Order: sequence, then structure tokens, then C-alpha cells
Amino acid sequence: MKTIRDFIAFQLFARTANLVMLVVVAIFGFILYRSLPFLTTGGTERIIEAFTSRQWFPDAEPPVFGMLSLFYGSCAVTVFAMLFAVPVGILSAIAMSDMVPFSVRQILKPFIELLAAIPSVAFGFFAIKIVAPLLQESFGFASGTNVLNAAVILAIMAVPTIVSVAEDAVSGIGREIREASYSLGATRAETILQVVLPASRSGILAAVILGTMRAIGETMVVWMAAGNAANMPTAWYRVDQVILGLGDAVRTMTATIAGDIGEAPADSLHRSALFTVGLLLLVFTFAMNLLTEFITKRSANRAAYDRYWLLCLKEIFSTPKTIFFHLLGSRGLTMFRRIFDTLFTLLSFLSITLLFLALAVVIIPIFKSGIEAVVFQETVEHRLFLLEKFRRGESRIVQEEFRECSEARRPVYARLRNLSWLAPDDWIAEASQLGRETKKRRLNRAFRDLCEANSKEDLQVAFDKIEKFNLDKTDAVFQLAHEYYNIAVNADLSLRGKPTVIDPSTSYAAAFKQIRTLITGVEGTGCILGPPARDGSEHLPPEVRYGPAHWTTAQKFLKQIRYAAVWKPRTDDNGNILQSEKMLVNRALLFEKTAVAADIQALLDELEHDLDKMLKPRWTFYGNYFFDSATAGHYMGGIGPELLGTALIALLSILFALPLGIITAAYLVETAKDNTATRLLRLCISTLAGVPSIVFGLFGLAIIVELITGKPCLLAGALTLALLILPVVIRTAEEAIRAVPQTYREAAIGLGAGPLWTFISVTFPASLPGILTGIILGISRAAGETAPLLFTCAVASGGFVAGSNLLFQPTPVLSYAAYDMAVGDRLAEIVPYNQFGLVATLILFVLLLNIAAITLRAGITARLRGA
Amino acid sequence: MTIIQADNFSLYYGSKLAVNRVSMDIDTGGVTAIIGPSGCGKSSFLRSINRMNDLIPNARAEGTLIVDGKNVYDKRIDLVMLRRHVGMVFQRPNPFPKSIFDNIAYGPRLQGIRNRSALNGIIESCLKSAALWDEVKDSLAKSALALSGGQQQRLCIARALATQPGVLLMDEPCSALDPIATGKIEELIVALKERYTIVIVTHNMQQAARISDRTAFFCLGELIEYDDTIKIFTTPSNPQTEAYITGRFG
Repeated sequence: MKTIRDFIAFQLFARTANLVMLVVVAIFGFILYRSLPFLTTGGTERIIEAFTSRQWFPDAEPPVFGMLSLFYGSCAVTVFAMLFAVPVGILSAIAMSDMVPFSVRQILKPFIELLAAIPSVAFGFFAIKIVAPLLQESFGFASGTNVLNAAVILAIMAVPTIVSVAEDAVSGIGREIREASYSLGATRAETILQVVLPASRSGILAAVILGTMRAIGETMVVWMAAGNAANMPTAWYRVDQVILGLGDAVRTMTATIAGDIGEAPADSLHRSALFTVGLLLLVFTFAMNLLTEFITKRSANRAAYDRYWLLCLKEIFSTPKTIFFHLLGSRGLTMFRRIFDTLFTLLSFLSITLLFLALAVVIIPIFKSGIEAVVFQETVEHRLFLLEKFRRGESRIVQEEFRECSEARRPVYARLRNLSWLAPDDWIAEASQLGRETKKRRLNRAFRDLCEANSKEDLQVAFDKIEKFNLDKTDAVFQLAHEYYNIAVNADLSLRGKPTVIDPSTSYAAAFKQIRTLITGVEGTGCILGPPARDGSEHLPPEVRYGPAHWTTAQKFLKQIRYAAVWKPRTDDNGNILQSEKMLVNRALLFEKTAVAADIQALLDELEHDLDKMLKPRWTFYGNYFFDSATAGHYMGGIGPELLGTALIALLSILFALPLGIITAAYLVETAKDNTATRLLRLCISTLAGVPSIVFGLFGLAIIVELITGKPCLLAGALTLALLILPVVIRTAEEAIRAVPQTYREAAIGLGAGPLWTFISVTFPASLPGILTGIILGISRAAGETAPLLFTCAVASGGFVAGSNLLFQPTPVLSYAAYDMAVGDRLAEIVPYNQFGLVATLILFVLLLNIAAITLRAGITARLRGA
Repeated sequence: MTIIQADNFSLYYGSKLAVNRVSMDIDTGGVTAIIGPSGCGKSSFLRSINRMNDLIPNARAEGTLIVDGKNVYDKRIDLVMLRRHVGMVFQRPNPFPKSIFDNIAYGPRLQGIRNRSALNGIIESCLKSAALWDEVKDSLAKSALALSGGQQQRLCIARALATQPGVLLMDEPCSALDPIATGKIEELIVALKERYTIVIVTHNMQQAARISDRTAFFCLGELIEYDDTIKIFTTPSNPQTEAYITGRFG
């Protein structure tokens, strides 16, 4: 019996579920709407140009929007990735379903799922930080970011997806048909190749399509690894040209959207063109999705197999095999079959080993370098930084320690001061800050003359001039002039401008300045000791104000100080320069045979010998890494704001996605009839699942940012991500609700409960653990995504602004910070442990959530089985 | 002449004992039926004869099981040759999702017979032996999955015959079929016993009585009694057999 309440509830559920359709229609609609200016203003010529021209010059006058090279870029990386990923994926799936023992398979399967969840930005980070230098230095590519790099990384990323789906398809074939084949005397290879694979071909095809979709829709990896130059071989249809192009940079459709939006003003043709690229991606993935639906549906009714031409074709193709078998003879055939079987088994095991090896190669270095962000030998500089920035640590002790270190550093600073006539610009800077108001300019000019004097005579003249200013003896500039005079009067001032013997392109002054910079610091690069006096340096950026936080960084600086990079020209017999080679030489050698050689040598030796006294390294566990905010470029400090931002945005997005997700799932399981509307709804959900994440970013920009919030902010990012994780939530919730035994419902209905009350009181609570799995998976997916946040939410650095409305502030997140640190910042280069630490944290964050979800699901499955 | 000879043969699944020290000889020709209650190890024993149990995780065998003079569980045995000589028909019809022709040609093709006319000959004779020829001779290119259950099972028998086995193992071949299809399969078995040694596991005692020459009764993994069918069904020497035959348990 249907009550009014149930009727209203049904209507409510149905309408809510239809919101999902509305979302999909809105995505298509708005992307199309924003593409219209591009598609309509230029007439057919512009559209023809888009599909035929290779020139992508949006800033030229008039702008040229040829997308051909972008298509080529997307296709090239995808095709090469699939060439690797498809065979490895399918063979691994076979190894898992038919070769490894059952217990091993039970471990491998969730493991593969975990690997599929690793955020793509982590792979991009790996590509740019580890693969690119490797390709460039060891394999001699002109640039490390190219088709090959992107394809390899995409392949590693796509394999888990392919394995996961293909394994389901292959093991879904069941044991009976395998037994039939074995009982007829087939080997394992024959059983798999001739029976299992043909029988599961639709599932395998779906796996391949899914993998392709993941590769073509991927943004971060290709943006970071493919080089971003719109290249395309002239003869793109020739295989050899394409293979030669492996070392070239390309630009994919997704990367173009990601990279260009920032430069395309809001209502420009350029931006509209980017929306058109997004539209093409959307249409492409939609077509792929329809194809998958078609394939899986067709296999469901298993068409009869009586096409005559197909049989004839098979006959023709098997002729060489027939001849080969005939030539082998019966004994030869037996041998051949056995060898082939062994080879096939080996190959499959090789694939699965390769898969895990590749992923281990990606993950292990990230964690190995990342762990140093937390566990490391901490210098006194780090302790000082923590004390000053976060008021952490025992003030008295740290100050005392720092005083001891300063004591140890004194000789080094003194030597630097004594040698500083070589490059007196810091004297000039010091004086200009001290100069008295009235006579400031003249005095400073005189002081400058003093410093720039290149001979004893000039020095004397300049010094006399300063004496004439009639300053009293306590005047700071006067004292400074005296000090400088005393140092410089005995020095060989002409040395400054002379080129060094070893590297004629550098003067002695420049060579000395390098040493001084590395020791005391200059903006934008770090230093080994920091400025001689800390008081009054509060305004300096942290990389100048503080020395290295980690002992390893100090060691790196020390190496840079000890060894100078020198460009050595190589000449042929006639003295013509062929090429210059970079080589490392002992820096002291640069000053060989000059008056300062001994001083420089002593300076370097003292620095090396007493470095531990100057920095007092000590092993530490920096647990607050996960809570502290960082200085610019993550030079010092932790990842607190990013971690918090990631958690906030993920939680917020699941909060938005959950009600819609659960109601849609409930509608699909409990009330939806199997009619066209329901099928359409299902199609919409799978379409939503296949939409490339960058297109979600475009949609978020067009709708949420431009129409609702007005600027990128936490709310916009969370709403965008909510749409992205909606299919994940719907699918897991649907599974969970469906898994509730029918008897529960019957019991409730038998006791007189209506359908709504049955759902609320019985079905929903029973499905909660399963829904929780969906929540966790949704959070982990939202935490790892980068592309949708590029235009809707993310900022490179900075914490939350206190007191302001959190929801309407741009938010730092781990994923975007990982991208930003990998490509942007020179400072971040000096502290790789902070880069790797951040990426490792992101991976860990996502993996832990996934492990929780998998464990939870395993528990539910066990309970349903009655264990 | 003995073709299958089990001597103290045991089979374990993990730690579970499925077949317990069975010793029995099966002679060439004729139908041997294995009966017994569910879970008594009759199927496990049958599937040991062509080592089909290898596909089950953690299966492990002890004792000897000799087929055609060779120990089946010998490490050096060629499984491909063994299974060629010992064909098998399963509980549920399991044709490949291929054409009828390709289903039967599967075995011969593996052995290198790829000549179309030779294959045609094999397929015709096998289908005739399986009493299916008249029903499918015009639609050999049709998917095997389009056949009815009984036809599918006869196709599976034809497919097993195509490798020219000496022994044919049948694991409850009629349990998934209706009475009419069952009748046809039974007729077929009786017709085939002239040329093949048939070992059939069945749940259906009447079936065993109708078609077999000798019957083995298994219970809880052990071989309780093994004798001529007539004797088993009329004057069993073991009280457990009698209890089972007369329907007091099982």
C-alpha cells in the first residue's frame, strides 16, 4: 500500500537522482556555450583552420588556433603509452587470474587497486624530477621532458587500471570453460589464448578503452612531462618519423587547457578556443563511453557466430600456422607446444614483475627522499628558525647554542672580511645605510671611490678625501672607511679585475664573490652560514637570514664551495674551440699563484674542518612538519596549510557529493524501473565518471567561479571536486545498498513498514559500512586531484588568512603545491627533501585512505559471507 | 585387462581429506559407475584420473594411480598426452563460446590436424557417435551456445571423442539436464561403451543400475564396495551399501 508520504518520497528521490542528469547536461551545455564564440565568430574558415593547421599561436596578431599539433600530442603520448601498457596489463591480468596461487592473488588484487589510486601529480613529479634528468644526462636527449617520458609515465599509471578491469573479465570466465580446454589436452598458454581471451574479449576491450581514456584525459603528467611545445612531425603518418619524434616535446590538449587559461583573459577568443578543446575532449570521452556500453551489451546477448566471410577469413589467416605445424611434424609439434607454453608463462610473470618494479621505481625514491623532511640531522639554524618563527624550543638553550656556533664561525667571517677588498660591494652597501643625512650623498660617493680604487695611489687619494670631511672619530662611516683602508692598504688591488688563470671568463673579484655569496647568502639562493650578524636582518628572506636547516644541505653547499664549475673550452689542433665542457675544479685552484691563495685555502679548510661546530647538526624527528607553515618556496618549515587545505577541500566535497550520491544510489536500487530513463541515468553516471578532470576544472571555472563565487576559492574547488567524485560515491553506495539481503527488506515490509520507512530504518543502516567505503574512496580521490583545482581554488603558497571567511579564500593544497614546487621554484630545488616530503605525504594520505576503504570492504564481504 | 589402477590413493584439499586410501582396478571397455552421497569424494577421485584437480588450489595427492601403465601423479608425466587419452565430460555442459565446428575441432587442431577435409571427417564421425549429427549438420558454423542443454552436453561428448581417447570420464553428465535429454545421453553412453572405457560419476542410482557394468560405492572418501552392478544392487555385501541403495541415507 502506498501512502502519500511514500509517494512524495519517491518523487523526491527520483527528482534528486535526475539532478545527476542535469549535471551532465550542464557540463556539456556550458562547455559548448563557452566554445560558441570561437566556433561562430570566425565562420567555417576558423573551424577548418582548427582542424588542419599546426600553428597554435593564440597571442599572434591575428591569432592562429590550429589544434592539429595538440591532437597529435595527445595521440602520440597515448599511443606510445598504450603500446606498453596494454600488453603488460593484459599479461599481468592473466598471470594474476591463471598463474599465481590463490593466496598470492588475494594480496595482489587490492594492491593493484591501491596503485591505481596514486595521485597523478605524484607521477608527474616523478617524471620531471627523476625521469627527465635521467633521459637528458644518461640517454642524451636534448630535453628530458618529451613524448617518451610522458608515455612511459602514463603507461605506468594506466597499467593498474587495465589490470584491474581485465583481471575481472578474465577470471569472470569461470573454471568450467578452462576445465573443458585442459581436459582436451590443451596447455595453459593454449587455453588462455584460444579460449579464455576470446571469451573475455569484451571485458578486455573495455579495460583497454578505460586505460586509453585515463591516458588521454590525464593532465598533470603530460603537462609536467611532455615538454609543452606544440610540435608535430611533418609526416605524422610515417611510423619512423613518429618514432624519431619520441625525443621531441609535444603539447597535449589537456596540457594546453591547463597551461593557457591563466594567459587567456576571461572573454577572449583564446579562452573560448580552450573551451573548444575541452569540448572535443568531452565529446571524445563520451563516444568512448558509448562504445564501451555497446561492446559490453553486445557480448551480453552473445550473437550467433555464423558469418561465412568470417570463417573464410580465419581460414586464410591460419594458413601459415597450418604450414608451420605441418613442417614441425608430430614430435616437433609437441616440443613446440611445450616451449611455447613455458615462454608464455615466463612472459606473463615478467609482465607482472615489471608492473610492480615500475611502480616501486616510482614510489621508493619519492619516499626515500621524502622521509628526510621529517627525520634528519637538524642544524642550529633550524632550531633558531623554529624558535623565532613558532616560539618552539627552549629559548635560552638555543640562543646559547647559536652563540657557540657564532663563535666557531668568527674566523671564517673574519677571513672573508679581510679578503673582501676583492669585491667591496658589500662595504658600499653597508656605508650607504650608515651615511649621515646632510652629507650622505657626497660622503657615500667618496666612500665608493675609496672602495673602487684599483691601486695604492688611488686608495690613498680617496682616503685623504674622506679625512677632509672633518668627521669625528666615532662616526660610523668614518670608522668603516678606516677599517677598509687598513685592510686594503696592503693588498694587491689590481688583482680584482684580472681574469683567473683557469677560467678566463671569470675575474678574481667574481670568483671571490661566489664564495662569499655561498657562505653568507643572497636572495633566491641559500647559503651555508648566513649573515655574520643576525640582529637587524629580520627583513631578509629566510634563505638569506638563515643557514641550511639540514646537515645534508650544508654538505651540498660545502661541496659547491669547495668545487667550482668551470667551462673548459676544448680545442682542436689548430686552436679552434669545438665545444665547452663543464667541469668541477677545486676552488682554491682558481686563486693559485696569487697573493690571496693561502688565505682562500685557509678559509675553505677552516670551513670544511669546523662546519659541524658552526652548525651543530643533531638527529631529530620533525613531527611538526605536518603542521607548520612554510616560508616562501617551502625553503623552511612544513606543509601544515597544504595538508589542512587538502583535508578541508576533500571533506567539503564529499559533504556536497554525499546526499546526492546516496539518494541517487537508493533510487537506482530501490525504486527505479528498468526503462529508458533509468538507462539514461546510468549512462550519465558513467559519462560523468569518464569526463577528463581538466574539463571539470573548466566547468568549475565557467559556472562556479565566474557565476557564483567570483574568484577561485575553497568553496568553488570543493564544489568542482564534488561533481568529480559523485560517480565514485554513487557506485559504491549503490553496491552497498544492493548488497543488503532482500530478506531484510521483506522482513520490514512484512511487519507493515512502507518502502520509505523500510529504506530509512533497515536498508540504509545496513548499508552504512559500504557507504562509508564510498566516502573514504571519494575523499581520497578528491585529495589527489590537481587539474580541477588549477582554476578554481589552488594557490601556490601562503597559509589561510586569519579572520577571513575560509570558504571564500583560495586555498593551498598538497596536490597543487607538488606541481608548483616541481616546476616553478628555484628555492625548492635547494631543499629537495621538502619537495619529496610533500609528495610523499600526498601519496601516503591517499594510500592510507584507500587501505582503510579496502580493509573496511573486506570486513563487510567477510560478514556477508557469514564469517 | 586393467586400464586404471588405483593403489592406496588419497587426495587432500589443503588439510581436508577428500579421497581416503582408495584401491580399485578398472578394466578396459564397459561402463564403471561411481555412486555415493554428496561430498563422498567420487568426483574428486574421477578428476584425479586426468589430473583435473591440478586447477584447484592446494590439491595434493598420495599413493599411486596408474592409467595405461603410467603413474598419473609422476612428476615427469606429460599432462597433455594424459588428457588426450583420458577425455572428460563435465557436470554442466561447458561448450566454448565458438562455433560447433570449432568446438569439436579444438582438440584435433591442438594436435596439429589443420587440414579442412580431415577435420570435416573427424567432426562428422564424432557428431555421429554423439548422436548429434542429424540435428546440427546444417548449422556447424552456428554458435555452440545456441544449442539446447542436452545438445550442448552431447556436443561436449563429441568434443571429448575428437581427441580419440581410450578412457572417457563423465562427472554427473546428466545432472543439469531434463529427463528426455538424460535418456538420450544414457543411450549414447551404452552405445559408446563398445569402443571406450567409461567411468561415470552419478548421483542417480537408477542411472547407474541402467547403464553400468560395474559399480563402486564411495562414502566419506572411502571406497566401501566395488563389484558387478547387478550384485551391488541386489545383494550388496556391505550393510552401508545396502542402506544407501535402499534409500535409508544419502
